[in-house]
Amino acid sequence: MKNFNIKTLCVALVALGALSSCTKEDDTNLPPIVPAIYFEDFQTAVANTPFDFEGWTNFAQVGTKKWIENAYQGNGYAEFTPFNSGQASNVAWIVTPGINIDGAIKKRLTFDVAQHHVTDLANNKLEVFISTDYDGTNVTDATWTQASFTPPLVGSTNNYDFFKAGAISLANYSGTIYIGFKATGGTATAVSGAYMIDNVKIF
Amino acid sequence: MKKLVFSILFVLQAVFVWSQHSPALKGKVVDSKTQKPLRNVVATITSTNQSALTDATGVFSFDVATEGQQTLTVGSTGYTTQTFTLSIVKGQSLDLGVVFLEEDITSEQQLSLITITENDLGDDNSGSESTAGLLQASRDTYQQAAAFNWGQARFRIRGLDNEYGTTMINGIVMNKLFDGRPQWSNWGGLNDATRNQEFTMGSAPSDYTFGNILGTQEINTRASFYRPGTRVSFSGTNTNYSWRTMATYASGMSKDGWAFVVSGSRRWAKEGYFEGTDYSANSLFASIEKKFNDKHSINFTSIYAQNSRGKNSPNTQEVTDLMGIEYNSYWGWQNGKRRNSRDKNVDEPILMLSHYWKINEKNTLNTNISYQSGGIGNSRLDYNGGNNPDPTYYKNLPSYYLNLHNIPADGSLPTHTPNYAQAEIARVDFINNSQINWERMYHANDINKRSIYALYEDRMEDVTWTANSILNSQLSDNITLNAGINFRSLKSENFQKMLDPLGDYGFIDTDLFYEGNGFTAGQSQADLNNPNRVVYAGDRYGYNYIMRAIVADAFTQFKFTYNKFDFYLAQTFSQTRYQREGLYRNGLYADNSYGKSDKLEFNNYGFKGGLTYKITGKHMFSVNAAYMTKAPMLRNAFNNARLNNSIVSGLEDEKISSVDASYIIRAPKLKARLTGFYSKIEDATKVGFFYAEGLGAIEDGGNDSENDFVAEITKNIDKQNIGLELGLEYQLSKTIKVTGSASYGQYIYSNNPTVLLNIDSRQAAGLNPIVNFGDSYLKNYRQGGMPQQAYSLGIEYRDPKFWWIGANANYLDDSYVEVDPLIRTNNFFMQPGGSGVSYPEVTEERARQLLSQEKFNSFMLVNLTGGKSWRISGNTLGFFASVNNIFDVTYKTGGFEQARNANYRELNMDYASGTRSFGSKYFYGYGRTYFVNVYLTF
Repeated sequence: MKNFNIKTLCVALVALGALSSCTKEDDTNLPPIVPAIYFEDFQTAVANTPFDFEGWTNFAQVGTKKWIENAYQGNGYAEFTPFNSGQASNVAWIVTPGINIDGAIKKRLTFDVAQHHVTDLANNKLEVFISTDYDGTNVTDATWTQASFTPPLVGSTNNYDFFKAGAISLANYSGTIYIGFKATGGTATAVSGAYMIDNVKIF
Repeated sequence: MKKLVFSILFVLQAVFVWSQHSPALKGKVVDSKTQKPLRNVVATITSTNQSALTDATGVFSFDVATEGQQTLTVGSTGYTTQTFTLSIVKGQSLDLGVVFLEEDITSEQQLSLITITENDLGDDNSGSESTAGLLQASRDTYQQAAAFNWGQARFRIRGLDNEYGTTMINGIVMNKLFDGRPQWSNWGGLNDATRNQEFTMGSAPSDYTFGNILGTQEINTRASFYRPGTRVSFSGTNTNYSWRTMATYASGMSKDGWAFVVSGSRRWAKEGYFEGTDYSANSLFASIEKKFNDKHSINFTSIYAQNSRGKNSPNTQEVTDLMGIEYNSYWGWQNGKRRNSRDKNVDEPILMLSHYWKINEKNTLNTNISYQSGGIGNSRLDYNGGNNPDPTYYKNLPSYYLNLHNIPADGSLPTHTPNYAQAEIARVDFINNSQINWERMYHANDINKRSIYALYEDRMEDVTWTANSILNSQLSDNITLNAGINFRSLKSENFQKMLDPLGDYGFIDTDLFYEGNGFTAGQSQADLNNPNRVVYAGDRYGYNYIMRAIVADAFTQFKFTYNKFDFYLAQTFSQTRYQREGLYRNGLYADNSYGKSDKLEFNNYGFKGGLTYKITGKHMFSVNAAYMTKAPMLRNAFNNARLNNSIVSGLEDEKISSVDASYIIRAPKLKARLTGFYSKIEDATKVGFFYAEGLGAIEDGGNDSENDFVAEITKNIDKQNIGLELGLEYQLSKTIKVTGSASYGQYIYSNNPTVLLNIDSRQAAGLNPIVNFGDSYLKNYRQGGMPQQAYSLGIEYRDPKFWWIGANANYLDDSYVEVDPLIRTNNFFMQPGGSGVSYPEVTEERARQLLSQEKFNSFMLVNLTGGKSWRISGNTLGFFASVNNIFDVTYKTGGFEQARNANYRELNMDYASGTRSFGSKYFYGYGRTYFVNVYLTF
């Protein structure tokens, strides 16, 4: 009888072990959600007005021409055009507000980019920079690191068409960063093409 | 001194008597009904596993028996086993007198069961076959409940698929190399002829094979093992067939050493339980044995079972709500007849030659050679350049209009724009045109002067040779050795076969989808070596390839039997080789479709062991443990075997481990078993196929194809099955028996496997056809398509006047839909072209709702069985009837999520109206069904 009890106990233990290692129904995990921690689609842009989005800097480094807000068929975007600036050289920035990227899962920056009438990519260009020490006003005092992206296709058939700029990795950054979009051109026809950006997203 | 001599003489005399005339234990076994002595009945003393067979006069005897309290079982195929508790005293002879064995009523029940298990409703991908077929003749209370009461609800023992069980005929493994599952139809309808069966449960040892972790079933067709006589039966039912007739004759062993058995059956239905499911099955069986002398016998078995049946469609909730659960979209009227577009035809005769060699009292060697040929075909409709002829095609249904959205080009949130007027038109139109329209297809072919619509068959024609040798050797009083070697070779031809081009015109063997703008010339060709062929009935087309497999394996097993302990150890080693040979040079895969693929080779091994501790003659405790590796099945080794030679990259062996522990009571009145089990399967691979629409949403920037054949490859799948099973049988009185069974399990995916898709349209666009979707978050989802909880309570009254009646009530719960791995990958949240960012509208709460696993409602099934038999001048006339699911409960037996709408936004759009277009598709169980059988034995 003693054996009997020991063996019963064994079975009970196995049974208990089996049951206690069970999982609950809602113990499942979702694939990781990658929300945009920063997203600006410029939908509130007022066509052909100076660019003045909250928290952004609009700065002319060379010449006086600045970025503008624009909209076409219900889509708002930011644009810089040196056309008719009357100045041989124009260099203008817009800089995002400070964005803390510690909550970003992938640490990537994407945006859409378009151009119109750009022909000379060397002298009429758009560049993207990242800074961690920008003070919110003095663009030239900050340390800027250039990031490469996929430029829009040029040629008259591609005018005004937005393209994906690709993903810029922010993996080397933490804390608050600023993204600067720097457009270069001039009043001469060869370098007076415009750049447009939209859907700036960090995730 | 005189006294002493006298005593010695007396003692010697006693010893003399004991050893010569009076065995320690004997008895005579007769049939309770016919009163005739029964031959070849096995009597076993359970504590020592000593056994004896009855002779021609029905007498068994044990010369020696261990003294003390002992349990004796007496049983034979077709009879219920009797258990006795005995007190054996040394030197005394114990005569049990006459033991009456009653005919086992489950043998009648088996006839009714087969109608359920054979109905493999399973879609090609879903693997929802029931394991109950494995258990039809088992005596274990729990297993009987699993087979007879729960089998109709697709219950699977231990949550394991058939591929983890081993089904053998004469020691020849019948599990197919293609998918590891036995094809029950190969011997379907031959219940009388396949009644001699032996079972083992879990990883417990079998004398014939190393086996796997679900158990083994060995069907023995040796002619001399059949009870001589004739048996004729006729049945009527309303399950997958309507009528069945069967006749069997067994000769018994003649004086000059010949024995033979013949059996034949036919089952048919114009329409089974579900609409449009016709059924026709003819089965023939013959076995003949020649006994040359006491040492050598040869047996030849041939089995020819032909089975053709119309399948029924799994349906979405929308379709079922409109048409009811018996609705089947696969058939349509043609010339006043119902014609099903999805027939399954199985036609694979088996020939087996067996040699039985009794080397001496302690050694036997059984050698078998088997040859199986024939084919399996599954028909379906082809449409090349026409609309999908499926009446339930999503654009035909109201939900298509109810879920319409305005989708902005800039990727912002779509707005729901339901069109109620169109939805109502679609509803009426669908109800009026809910079946396949054959005439319209003929007409379309006619006016186009070519076959746009055609009926074809996916065919698999196998030739399998198997040879094996199984040794059984009594090494000593306590040690038995089982050993076997096995060799199997398979040549499997797989192709699309034109059955009917539906009219006078031929079908052009090209894929029009890959013709014209954006495609290179030749990409549309099924076979570049023979381009632009026009095919007619009987021709091969589409795809055409050969799979070759060779498997060699060996096992040894040592069983040790002692008074208190039995234990065993077994090991196996196997080598498996696969190779594909393409017979067509496919236009999309011109470089790797024609000719031979690389060879695949797998070396696998396994170990197992177990122990039974006999606490008393009635109480036992036993444990079993096994670890083995298993080669991936043939169907899971290639990315897209239909079209090319590419092998699943990083293909791995499955690793299988299993432990179980049982407490067993075998008392005369009470039989009980409680088992706890744990099994883990690691690194499983699964390749499934589906036709996808709108895969553009899945692919980042890929092209949005309308009808894309996609292979879904899921790798490194881990599954964990834990549970308890209980079987209780109590003889309340001489006439009343109560049974109780319970199964409580939890069968889950225990990791996050990797998902890849092979997308033909990417290959066409010059891209790598394989897209890796990374991890699928399947961990802790339940394995779908089976109840994970099942309880049964039954009572049986058996009148001494040969009639009986039984009833059982069954509660089944915890059955889940089979989850789709693809929608649980990172891709689910990703905005197309967004470099990995999730859709802006994603919320965790909604995501959990969308990805939660649907649990089916629990349900109660009540079944009634009863029978009576009469003895008429030495013959038996019997009657058996059962009613299953008396209360006509509607229940889902399984279902699967559709892989379309594989991302968050698309899925949300599909839910917009509350009626999904791409909701899960479900299988339903039978409502109230009956089975009536009349039989005559003489």
